[in-house]
Amino acid sequence: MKNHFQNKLLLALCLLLSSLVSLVAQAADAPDISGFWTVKFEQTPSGTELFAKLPEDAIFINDAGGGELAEGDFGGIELTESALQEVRDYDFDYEFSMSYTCMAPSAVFYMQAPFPMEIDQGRDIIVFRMEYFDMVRVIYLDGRGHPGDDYPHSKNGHSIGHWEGDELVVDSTHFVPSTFMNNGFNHSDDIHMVERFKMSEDGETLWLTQVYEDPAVFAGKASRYMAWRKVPGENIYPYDCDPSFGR
Amino acid sequence: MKQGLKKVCSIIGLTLFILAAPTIYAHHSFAVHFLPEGEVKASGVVKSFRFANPHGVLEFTVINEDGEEVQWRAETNSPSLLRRRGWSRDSIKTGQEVTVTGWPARNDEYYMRIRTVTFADGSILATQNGINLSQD
Repeated sequence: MKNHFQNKLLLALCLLLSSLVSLVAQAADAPDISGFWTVKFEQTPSGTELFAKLPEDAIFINDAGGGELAEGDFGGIELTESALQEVRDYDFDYEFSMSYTCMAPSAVFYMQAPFPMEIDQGRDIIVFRMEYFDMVRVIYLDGRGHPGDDYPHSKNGHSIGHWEGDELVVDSTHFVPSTFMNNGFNHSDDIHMVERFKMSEDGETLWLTQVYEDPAVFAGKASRYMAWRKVPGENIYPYDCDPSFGR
Repeated sequence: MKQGLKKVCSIIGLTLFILAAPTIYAHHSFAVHFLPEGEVKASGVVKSFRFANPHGVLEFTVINEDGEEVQWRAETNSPSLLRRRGWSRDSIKTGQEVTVTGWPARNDEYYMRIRTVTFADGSILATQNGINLSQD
């Protein structure tokens, strides 16, 4: 009985050690994506390798960077009835109120905003410091899982990541409901987002694809694509949102 | 084959979208509140200029065709982005004569999103990349 327990303990330790060795090895081989990145308005999308990995049934949303979809245009996504009702009830005038003015979007939306970001990369965490609304996002690479349902939800959500070769794969949950398209369409607090980051071989371009699932709000999957250009020596500016813009 | 075609179409669509889309962005919806294909122009005297995120706001007084004063308000895109395009809080001063072009608001006759501000000496401030800046 005692030996059986010891064997199990030994096996568990071996598995844990093996995981740690694997994580360290991944981190050691990982490319360094640290630095200042500014949105790249490409004439032709260059991150085709990531495009190829998008799920074939994911609706592609063409609004990243500088674009926006108009009122009532959801890019082909089929909203649930409750989500449609929420859109119908949405008060666009509220967007000009003082209480709304400095309300930051979630990472689901702010990653594709046309603002620069700085990435600080460590072995166990990667920090994304966004100029937009001064948002800070932490990606845990230490092998932890997502916390339980009682963990607080937030605009940044909870993100865990790992390296698959030269691609950083990030899985995010625990968001609060927030805008999805900036046109009255919000995601729920159950949205699940999977991202793939990949840097070009010359280190000058960073690509990202995002895949979302949010069954309370829309059927199936949706996706976005983004690209940034590296600018050495630059820094993000403080956003310091001033609510007095609102009326 | 069908899925591959779908992805190619997505890439082509994204290309066309990027080529066609102005780099407009807002803490609030641009497409809902402004006419993306519209253009409005107004000339007047600057009453105030606020340069803080999420939008700068220019207030200026225009004399209309009936000789009456009309108060215009015009918002910029994010000052963070505009700083990298040469703007500062001192770019526009109270009392200056300006001609402002932009995208008209859908529901406010005297509100716009700024595209350019032209000063009396002919110099221009632009909110978007790709427009020649001639301000000294």
